[in-house]
Amino acid sequence: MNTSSADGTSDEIMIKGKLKLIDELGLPWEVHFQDDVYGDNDITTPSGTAHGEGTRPDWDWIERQVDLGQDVEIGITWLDSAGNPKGGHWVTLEGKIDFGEGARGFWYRHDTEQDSTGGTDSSHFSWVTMRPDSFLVLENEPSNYIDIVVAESPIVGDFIPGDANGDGFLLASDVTYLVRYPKGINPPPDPLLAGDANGDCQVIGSHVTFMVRYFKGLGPAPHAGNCR
Amino acid sequence: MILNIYSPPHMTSAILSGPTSIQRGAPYDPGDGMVQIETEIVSMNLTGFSDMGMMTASTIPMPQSLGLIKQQASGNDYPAESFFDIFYRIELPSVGFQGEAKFPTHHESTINQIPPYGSIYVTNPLQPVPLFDPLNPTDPPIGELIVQFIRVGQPPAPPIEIEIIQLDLQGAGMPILQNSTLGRVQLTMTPPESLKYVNIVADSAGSGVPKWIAQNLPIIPYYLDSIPHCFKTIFDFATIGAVQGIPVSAINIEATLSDIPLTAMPSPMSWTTYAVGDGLYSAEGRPGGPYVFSGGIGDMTLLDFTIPYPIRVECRPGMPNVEAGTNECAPAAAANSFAWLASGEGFSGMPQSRRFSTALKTPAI
Repeated sequence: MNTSSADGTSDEIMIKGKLKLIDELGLPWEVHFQDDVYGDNDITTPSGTAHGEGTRPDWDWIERQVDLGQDVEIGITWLDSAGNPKGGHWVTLEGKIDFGEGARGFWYRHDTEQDSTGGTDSSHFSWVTMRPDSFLVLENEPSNYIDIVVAESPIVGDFIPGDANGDGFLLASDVTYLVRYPKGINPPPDPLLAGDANGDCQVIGSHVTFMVRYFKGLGPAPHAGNCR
Repeated sequence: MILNIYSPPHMTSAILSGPTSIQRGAPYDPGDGMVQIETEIVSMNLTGFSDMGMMTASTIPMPQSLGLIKQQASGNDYPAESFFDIFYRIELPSVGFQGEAKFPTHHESTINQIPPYGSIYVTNPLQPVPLFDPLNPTDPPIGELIVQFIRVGQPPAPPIEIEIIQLDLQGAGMPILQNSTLGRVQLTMTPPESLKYVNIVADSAGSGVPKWIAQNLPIIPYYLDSIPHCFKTIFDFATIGAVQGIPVSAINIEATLSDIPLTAMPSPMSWTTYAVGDGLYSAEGRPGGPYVFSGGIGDMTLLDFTIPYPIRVECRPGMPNVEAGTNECAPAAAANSFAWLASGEGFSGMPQSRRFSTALKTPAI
């Protein structure tokens, strides 16, 4: 990433650095982002392409990445006392809580104790609001707004929606697999979206009901959603 | 408990939790040499939130919801087989839904202690149970219920550990601004059985006037992350009288743990004095700095915690945290993410996180 101890890492170089390392390590991952500068424009290097998916990092996009099991990094721009941008910071998303429009929050890994010998810090929590210009704000941090989010996702090949255990067939054993997954007895479906029976891009408990109803002949067949 | 409700055309699911009381009979040998204990659920009050609002689960008075604990082998109390046949009553108050089961749902588990803390009771067979309107019980069913499983909660969690810090602020390469008007709360606690909220109110400058310094901080329940939580959040120390450059040695606070978000301060106040520690806040790594940190903590009173609301919580236990030097937040964040994603994908070729972070700092193009 060509990180400088004097000036850090630019967003473009960060994304290009990720593409390079993904390529060097042969990881089956793709990079996508929302950024106020690049918007819907991709960033392409000889190592690969990162896909631009919007000019404003928005809650729904971030939430969908989390629900799909993707990693997410959040870029914060600090604001000085006059409200002008003044550098920024990256944090790693650890979790989210969503009460709907009223209150939303993030847990994140946040190194707030940087020094020349390195430092770490534990998890932080902040409530998240939205400015009138649609930028998200971490309210429990000094003046800021979120201007870029980046996520990596495994490249998903063909799969059968509802085939949670990946055996290539839609059977009652897929229901059992989906029941055992949240208990930690089974690993997540591979790919995770194979457990998305009703196409809502989530893998949650109601899909068990959807599958049971399908096998009883009372409901529609599992189907894929448009999850990107 | 995780359950699904289907009431045409609606389908919803929820994770419910709450207290359940079990009455156990005296152990006895029914004649096969293996001691057993008859059990009965005498009260159940589980609550949670679905996309149709708050949901509750309880048992109907009759028939009774009975169970049994039985040794697997004579002379050995554990492991033991345990089951419950539960006649559920489900309510979704916000949509006026009430449903009662005429048939029990059978849950079974192999347990290693009584109470069987942490045990999972699976539903067997896993099939829908019809729900009937309790006001018109002879009408056709009004919905179906599938209870996926029940997990027995943990023992009561120990108290929350709270640490209050007055932050020193530092932009990269800049002098440290000592004793700022930003504060930090650090919470450490064993995960509770269900989602709970920590509220901390401070005595403003010893005046007796209460001010929020943390409102409704959510504590992730153990079924999402079982390891003790430690997390921090920043607050505006100036609102309780801190002055830039002046160290604060102690403050009076009241901390409460609630089952639902609070919309008003708890009262009456019962202050506890906490020593205030010293900590550093230095967080940069994108061009345009150094940043002279100042205030700007948001006004949390503008958040709306009124219910009903569908709460969605997601967390990622075990997220790595690599060391980062000055202005190294970008490679550190990327290394954390890559290592986490690689572990979930079972990718074995990932460098160790520190080497990874170093690789990420090198020129990219």
